Amino acid sequence: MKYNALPKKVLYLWLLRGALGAIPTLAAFLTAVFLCEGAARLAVALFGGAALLISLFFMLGLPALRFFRYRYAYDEKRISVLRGVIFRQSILIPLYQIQDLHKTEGPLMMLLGLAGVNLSTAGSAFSLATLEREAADRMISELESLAAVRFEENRNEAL
Amino acid sequence: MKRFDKGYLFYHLLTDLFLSVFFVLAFLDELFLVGEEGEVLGIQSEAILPCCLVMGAVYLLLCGYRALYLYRSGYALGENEILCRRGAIFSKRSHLEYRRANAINKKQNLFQRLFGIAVLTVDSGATTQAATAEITVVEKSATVDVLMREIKARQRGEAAPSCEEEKQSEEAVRFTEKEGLYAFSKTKKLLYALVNLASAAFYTLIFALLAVGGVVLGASVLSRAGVSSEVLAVTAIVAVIVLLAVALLTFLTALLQSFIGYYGFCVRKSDEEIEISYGLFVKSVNTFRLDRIKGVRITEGLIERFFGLCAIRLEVVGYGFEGSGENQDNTAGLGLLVPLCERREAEALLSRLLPEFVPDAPTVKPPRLAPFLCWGQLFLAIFSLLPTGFAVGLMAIFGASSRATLFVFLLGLLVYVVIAAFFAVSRILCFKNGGLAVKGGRMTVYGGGFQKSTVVLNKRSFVALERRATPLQQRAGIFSAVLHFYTNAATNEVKALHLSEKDVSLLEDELTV
Repeated sequence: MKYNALPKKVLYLWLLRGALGAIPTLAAFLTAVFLCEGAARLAVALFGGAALLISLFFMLGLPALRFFRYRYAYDEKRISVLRGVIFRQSILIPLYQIQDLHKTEGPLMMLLGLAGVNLSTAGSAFSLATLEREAADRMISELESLAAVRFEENRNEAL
Repeated sequence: MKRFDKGYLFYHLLTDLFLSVFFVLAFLDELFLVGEEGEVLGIQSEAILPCCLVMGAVYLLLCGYRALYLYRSGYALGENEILCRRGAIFSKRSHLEYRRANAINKKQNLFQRLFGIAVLTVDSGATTQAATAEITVVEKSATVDVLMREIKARQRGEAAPSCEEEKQSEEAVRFTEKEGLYAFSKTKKLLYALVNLASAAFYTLIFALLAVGGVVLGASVLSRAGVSSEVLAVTAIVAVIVLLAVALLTFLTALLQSFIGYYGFCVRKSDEEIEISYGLFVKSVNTFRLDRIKGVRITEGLIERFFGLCAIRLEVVGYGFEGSGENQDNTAGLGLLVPLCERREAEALLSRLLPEFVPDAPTVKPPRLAPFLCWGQLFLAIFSLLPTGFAVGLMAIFGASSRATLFVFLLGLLVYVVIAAFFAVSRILCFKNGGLAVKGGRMTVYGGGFQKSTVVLNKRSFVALERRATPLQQRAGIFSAVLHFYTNAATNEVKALHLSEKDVSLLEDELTV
């Protein structure tokens, strides 16, 4: 199986989401520093600053690292996703277990011309990849036909 | 559509009366004349009428609701499906094809038995809130039995058999307290209660010791004169009282559960299904189709392991372990195949009941360094010591006394040491208990730390495999495999911790090709 990376637009999407989350956090921190006085201001600046830096790392730094580690692949028998920075995961889903495939588009995704491909199995739901809209459509239709073939093969094997 | 039995209304008229009385108890203060020192002087006659009015209004409201529910609810057994309509204000109409029904259960509590009714639930396993069955029917107990037989017959595409035919067709694997292949005997019930008592006592003792340690530490740091004997004595007495109270409560609960909850525990098997029935006050009959049983879980707690005991549960589609809505009765026993048995007899029991789920001996064991190559300790240190550092920093900024700061620091450190020790022991036990076997159509996953578990899964119910590792583990070639499988319980995954890269790859090939 040949693993594919995500398109660069996905990185922009994740950073944009992170930035949207960072703005209220930053505003809350600055308001707290401004409202407090004396020792309380020092405490808020020190501990709040440390918490803010950690939050910023999670909102902006981690998505970037996650983007560079994310890989996905599929062939006629299974789908595989590699992801995670600190806790690394490799997910393998047999095609015949696919129940349904979903394409999702939020406002930010629509803005960047992206779409998410998710699938449900009988037991769990998995997010496969966020791709450019046309690529997502292509992936869904390919997976659909591969899954149909695999399902038929599996049924014949069972018989 | 046939309406539910009228017993439903009478049953609720009685239970709602209790509910209304409890509601009125909230106004007791208003009802009694209380003296200055809290003594009851008498009843305020002018408060009796409002109290009765409130109780009456609540009762009438509930009665109206129940009557409307009975009037608007009903069921019908169609050619291919069961139809059910439920609800007083918001009506819900459900259709369930016979072939999709996974679990057919009958439940009857003490009051329902008084009115001769029972609740029949039929579930397809489509709901994630497992116990919210799609079909719920309240009928006379005998009618529920007939309905159960009829539904099962229609699942097989036959006409409903008579009681005699039903009895003859059942395979003779039957366990009752008297017949005794598996007997949840009085001795075992007492043992079950004692094991629960020992488990609760063990964990309470650890927490009590930790609390005593904290108090002693605080007393020695904060008091210049060292630990006062009075503080020590009071702490020890409080710890012992808490320990005894928790132990007694656990023992009584377990005793009631085993003697009343699991009264007449009986497992029956026919060609197509397993039936588990139990209960004195709440009588349950749970039926599971064999082809919908996805796995078996054998659990052994720390104390059970000392005595070589275990419990066996079914992993099954259609019903999890928590109830809600109309079925909010206790469903904790659902899927429980054997509440307590000797570990060495578990295989023999399974080979009679579910031969395809007898565990295989582990062929793969965790690599040697596995328990020590994890980031858990680091994260544990960060999350345990960060609040301590935060508190100490704040105390320093706000000029708290050095003794108080030292106390907080030492207390944080103590908590970290205890948690770290617990975690380390758990990891070592995980390593010791871990293992995997893939044989024929099934997988056996051994795992768990303090609570050892052996899960036997049917390969057909496997839906995805997840390989997890931290960068450190990845470099050492150690992975955890998470097997996702199909049930509608809260967690539908089993973790096989610490496998070598070669073993995970073999597993991937085995399961996905």
